[in-house]
Amino acid sequence: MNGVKKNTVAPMFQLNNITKSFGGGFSLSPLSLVIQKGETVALVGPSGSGKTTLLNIMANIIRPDSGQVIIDGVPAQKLRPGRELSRRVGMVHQQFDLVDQLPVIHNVLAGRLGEWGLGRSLLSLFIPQDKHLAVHALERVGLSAKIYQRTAYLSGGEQQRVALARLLVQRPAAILADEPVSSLDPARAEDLLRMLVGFAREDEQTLVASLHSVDYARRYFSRLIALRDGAVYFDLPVSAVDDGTLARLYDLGEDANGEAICQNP
Amino acid sequence: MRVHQQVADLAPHSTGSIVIKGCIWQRLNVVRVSILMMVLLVTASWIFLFTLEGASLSGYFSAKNLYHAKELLGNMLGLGAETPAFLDMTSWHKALALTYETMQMSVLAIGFAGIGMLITVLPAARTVADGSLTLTSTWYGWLVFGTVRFLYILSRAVPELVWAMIIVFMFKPGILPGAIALGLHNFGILGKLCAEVVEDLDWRPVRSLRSSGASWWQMLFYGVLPTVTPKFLTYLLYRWEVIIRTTIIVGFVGAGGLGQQFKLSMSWLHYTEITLLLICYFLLVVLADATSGLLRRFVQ
Amino acid sequence: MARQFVKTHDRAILTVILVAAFAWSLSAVPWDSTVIHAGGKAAILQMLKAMVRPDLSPETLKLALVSSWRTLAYAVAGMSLAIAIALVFGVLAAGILVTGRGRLAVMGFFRGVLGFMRAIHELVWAWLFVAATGLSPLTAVFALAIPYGGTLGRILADMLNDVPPEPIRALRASGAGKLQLLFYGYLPMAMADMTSYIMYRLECAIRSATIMSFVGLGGLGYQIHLSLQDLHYNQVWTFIFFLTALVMLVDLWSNQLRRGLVP
Repeated sequence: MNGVKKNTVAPMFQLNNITKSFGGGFSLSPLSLVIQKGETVALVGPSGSGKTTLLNIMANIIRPDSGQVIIDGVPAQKLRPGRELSRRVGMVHQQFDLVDQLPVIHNVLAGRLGEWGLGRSLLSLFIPQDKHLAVHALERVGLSAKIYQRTAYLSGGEQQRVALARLLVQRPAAILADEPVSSLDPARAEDLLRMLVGFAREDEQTLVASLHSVDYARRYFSRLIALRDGAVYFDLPVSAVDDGTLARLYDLGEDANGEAICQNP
Repeated sequence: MRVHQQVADLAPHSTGSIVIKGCIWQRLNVVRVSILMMVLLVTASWIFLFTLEGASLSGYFSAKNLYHAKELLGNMLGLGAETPAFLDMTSWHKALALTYETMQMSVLAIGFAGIGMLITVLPAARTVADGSLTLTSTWYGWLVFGTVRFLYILSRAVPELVWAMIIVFMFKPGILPGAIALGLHNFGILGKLCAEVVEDLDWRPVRSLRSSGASWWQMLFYGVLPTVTPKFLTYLLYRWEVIIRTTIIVGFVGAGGLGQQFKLSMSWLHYTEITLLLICYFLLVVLADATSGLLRRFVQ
Repeated sequence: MARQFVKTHDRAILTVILVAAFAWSLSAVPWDSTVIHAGGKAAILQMLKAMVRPDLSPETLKLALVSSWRTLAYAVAGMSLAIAIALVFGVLAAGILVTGRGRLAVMGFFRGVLGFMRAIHELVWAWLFVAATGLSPLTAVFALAIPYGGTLGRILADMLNDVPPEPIRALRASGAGKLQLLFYGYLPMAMADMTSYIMYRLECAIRSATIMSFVGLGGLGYQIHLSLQDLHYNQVWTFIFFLTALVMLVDLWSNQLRRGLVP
């Protein structure tokens, strides 16, 4: 469905044989992935399987020890932080990572910082710039009533929606979400996921989200990538995932050195 | 500390039990040694006082001293005085003018201290120097860090009054030397407190701004400043309260305000004037506490 | 609308108020050549020059060492007395020993006493004591202990009131009396915070003991005073650096202790 767009040739993310290890003996073994534009991908797997590390590598926040990361056709090491990167990749975190002390509107407009110069961003703290973008984004996430509230006063679910509104203003080509709903109760979690996936589809963005719950992953996403011990355990379209496969993914007792069941190129 | 936190975030399977055991052992040790040192220090101090310094309890609580104390109290309450100063309008007028002046001195002092702190606080934060906040660490960053931290310690180790003694050598008596002395001392204290605020900053929202494409300066204005401002303002107001209490002290060496008059009245043995000045001082302290409390509630 | 504006920009408004206050205070100073002494500039230069060349002759160093000990001894003696005062008054002001109708009255009274003790600066206390009884080592110790006892007592009372109620209730249920509650419940729970606060106040006490030189007490402050009068700036800096080192040592100790106390 996204094949009609202009620069269709380059996939959104292309990872070739990347590895990463930390002092604690925790690592990503050689791992390769291709994610096309417009895909909605869920990363699942037991905690410690390397989901966060993988997302951080895709966001170009950390560099792999070896291997190649290509974001939107550009090698990651050539993308400097700032506008070049923020137009391609935006990220939501588990802890929202908003500036608590700022009113909601400034946290949302922070999505424009890559586009604004210093002067304009300072002026905006007193007279909000591009205000219509923030208003529109907050309307879409259903928070327009709280536009001038201090962010710290919002509930967890509301803060997560503010983070979402910031992404709507930033409009990156791809959204990376690290456990976006793990600190929310089930009802709010579903709301937020529905919104996140819905917006990504509407705006033709790529979405990669790590999730604790396979249930949510199957319900809202089109492709599932399971990680286990830093390697791809399976990589399947949602329709091909069955309960048995999932049970084996989370079964830690036996099958500790379980092989990959299916490697989708 | 911060590095540990980061590693812990990324690697949940770290083997922590041995480390924790080591910590407990060390902790008890530090506490035990501290208690022992404290007991020794206290004992040594009191022995020193009662032997080499010649302190004597019976000599102190003697009938003669009791008589003198009663006499002082009587004099201060204006017993036997023609017109006690605290019942005299012109004296009140003069004292209130001095109170006003003292207030100005305190604001000037906290202003000096605050400006000095704001200029130096960022390089004085360890997280800025080692690059964990801004992602760049340089040798001159460490040099500036060391220098500023040394200045902080020096200026806070020296009491206001000693700064004032030095500064009245250069400036003529008035509120300016007093304000500079108070400002110098509080610069060190504010600097230390505020640098710690910057060090304890949650860096995740700041880094998150980075991924929205913010530059170094934008991270400062959107991430760092909004987060530290409430704490900075609270510390400024709190130190201002302390400064108000200390203004009277720097006045002793000729740095203006209530203190200067206090010392003069002392040497002229105008006891009722002393009472009046103490009343004004007391009022000033209460007023400042109330104002600062009000303003603090404003930022919370 | 106006309310909304104040709410959104409250910190900006406060900052403006503070800046305006500072401007007002600046206007109180006659900004011309009359603020500085004729030889003031030269004195500043000499002072700064002396800073990098402190007097390190053996006699001065020995004097500085002895004076440092004297200052420290007075600070520690004053602090120990202040802690004793704080324990008695703080516990009473927290109102945990008294129940029933008199509780608020007792709390109010002792909080008032503590407030009065700390409202007056230690040097003013010292001056009053000297005027009443003449100079004695105990004058300095008492002058230090009263305001410090007031501050510590107030903080202790606050900490005791903030102790979590559940363990206290459990102790009471197991039949502990009021004093037992105090020694098995309240005091142990407030201990860690209180200790780090005491260490911080010890640092302040060293400074206060230094300025007691004003009522004639020996020590670092007195030496600084003498050297300044003799215009021996190099010596002034020697003593200042000793004072700095003393404060740094206490600071270091208190950091170590705090790390040991906080789990």
